[in-house]
Amino acid sequence: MPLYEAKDYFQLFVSGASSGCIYVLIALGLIAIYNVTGVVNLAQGEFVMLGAMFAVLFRGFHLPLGTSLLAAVLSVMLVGAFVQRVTIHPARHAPPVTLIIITIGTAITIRGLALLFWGTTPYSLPEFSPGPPVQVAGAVLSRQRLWIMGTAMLVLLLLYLFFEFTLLGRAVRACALNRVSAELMGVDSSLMALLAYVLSAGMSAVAGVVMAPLTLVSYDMGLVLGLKGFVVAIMGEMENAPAAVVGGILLGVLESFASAMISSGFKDAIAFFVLFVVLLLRTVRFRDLLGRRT
Amino acid sequence: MLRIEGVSVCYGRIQAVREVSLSLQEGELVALLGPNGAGKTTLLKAIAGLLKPSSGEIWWRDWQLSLLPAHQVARLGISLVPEGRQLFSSMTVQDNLLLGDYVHHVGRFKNLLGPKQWLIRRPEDQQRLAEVYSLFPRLQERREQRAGSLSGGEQQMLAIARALMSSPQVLLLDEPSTGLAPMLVREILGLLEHLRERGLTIFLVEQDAHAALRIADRGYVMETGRIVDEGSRKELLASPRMRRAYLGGL
Repeated sequence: MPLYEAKDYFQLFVSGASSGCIYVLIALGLIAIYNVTGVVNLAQGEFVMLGAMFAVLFRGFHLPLGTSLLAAVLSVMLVGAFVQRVTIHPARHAPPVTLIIITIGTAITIRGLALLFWGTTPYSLPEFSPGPPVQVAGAVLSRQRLWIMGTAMLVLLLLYLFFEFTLLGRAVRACALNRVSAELMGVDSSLMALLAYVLSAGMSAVAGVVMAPLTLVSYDMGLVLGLKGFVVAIMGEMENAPAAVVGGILLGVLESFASAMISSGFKDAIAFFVLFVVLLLRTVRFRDLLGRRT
Repeated sequence: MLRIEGVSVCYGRIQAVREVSLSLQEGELVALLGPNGAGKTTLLKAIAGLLKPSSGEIWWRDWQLSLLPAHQVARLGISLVPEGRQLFSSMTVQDNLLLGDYVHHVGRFKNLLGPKQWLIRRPEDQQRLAEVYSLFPRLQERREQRAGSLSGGEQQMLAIARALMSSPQVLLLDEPSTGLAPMLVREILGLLEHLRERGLTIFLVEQDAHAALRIADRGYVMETGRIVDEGSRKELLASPRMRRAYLGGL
C-alpha cells in the first residue's frame, strides 16, 4: 500500500467533495419532490442522464457550449413537467407504494427511449473552460471540478433564497408542511407539486450537464446516480436539506478515498454500504441510543 | 348571499351531512350548533371546497362553490379557520400572515418571486398587516417567533389573523373556542362581534351554544347530519329543545 502525504489526502478530499456536489443536487431534488407531493421519485437519476444527453445533442447542432447547456437544462425541465402531469398527477391520490412503482416505470421508460434514440454508444462533452489543471493549496484540480463545485454552490444559494425569502418559495414550503392549510390560503397545491417537480428535474439536469465532461455519458448512467442521490436524501431523513448537503459531500469523499486506497472497484459499493448503515441506524435512531425520547 | 341547497356529504359509505339547506345574508353572524359528530365540520369543509358534496349545491353570489377546488374558493373571498388551527408551525408568525396574504399576489410573478421584505413594504400589504396587528397586538410582538412556539390562545388568534389577511368576504370558523380559557373565549367572541360590525359575514361552528348565541344573529342546530332547529338568537334561546339539549336548561 503506498504512503500518502497530507496534500494527497487533501487532493482526494477535494475531488471527492466535487463528486459529492453532484449527489447533493440529485438528493435535494428528491427531497423537494418528496416533501411537496409525498412521492419518492426513483426516476430522478434519469433526469441527470437526460441533462447530459441533451447537452451532447444540442452541442451536435453546433450551438455554442453555453447555449447548449442552458437549452439542455430547460428541455429537461419541460420533460419533467410532462412526466409529472402524465404520470404522477393523475395518480396523486394513490397510495405511496403505487406512486413509487409509477416512478420506477417512468425511469425504465425514459431509459428505454434514450436507448432507442442514442443507442449504447457513450458520448462526451468538452470541458467548459479547457486548460491545464489548477493548483489549489497543493491539490491539482481539473477546471471542470471547479465548475462543478461553483455551480452546485450557486444552485444551493438560489434554492435557499427562493425557499426562504420569496412568497412563492414560502407557498411551496407551506404545501410541504400542510397541504390542506396551503389550499385554504389560496395556494394551488397541484401547481406547487408541478413546480417542485420541474425544479427538481432542472437541478438534476444541471448535475448531469456539469459532470458530463468528466465522464462518458450514456443512456444507462442515471440508475446508479439516482440511487446514490437517494442514499444521500435518506441521510437527510428525506427532509433535512443541510444534512443532505453534508451527507452528499461525505459520500463523495468516502468514495474518493475508497477508490484510491482500496480499489476503484469498490467505489459504487461504498454508497450502498453507507445506505445499509444509515438505514440500520435509522431503525435504531440516534435519540434512542442516547436514551432521550422526544 | 351564501346558499346551501340540499347538500349531502359522504365519507365512503357514511353519510355525514344529509340534505342540509341553509343560507347566510351578507353581514350576518350565524352560528351552527350541535354535538360532536353532527356533521358541522364536514359541512364547513364542503363550503370551503375541501370536500365535494355527493349531492346538492353551494352558491356564493353567482359562483357555485361546490364545483371549485379549495384554493379557488379561498380566492373568491371565503376563508376557513379550520379546526385545530392548522398553522405552518415551523414558520414565523409573519410568514404565516404572509401566506394569508397570498391570494392578493396570485399570478403576479414580481410579487411572488421578489424578496418578501419588499412585499411587506408595499402600501396595500403594509396596511393589511397593520390592521391585523392592531386587532392582535400580541402577534406583532411575536412576529419573528415560530408559530408553533405560541400559546394556544395566540395560535387561535394567528389562525384568525391569517384568514383575515386575505381580506375575506365570508369568514368560516370551526370551533375557535376549543381548548381555550374562558377569558380568551370571551376575547375571541368580542373580536368576532367587532368584525361583524365592520361588515364581514361570519359562519361560526360551535359546540358551546351559550357562547355562540351570545353574539350570533341567528343559528342552526345540527344533529346526525341534519338541521333539526333554526331561528333567531331569541327563538333558539327560548326553544325547549335547545334548553334541554345544549343550554343545560331548567
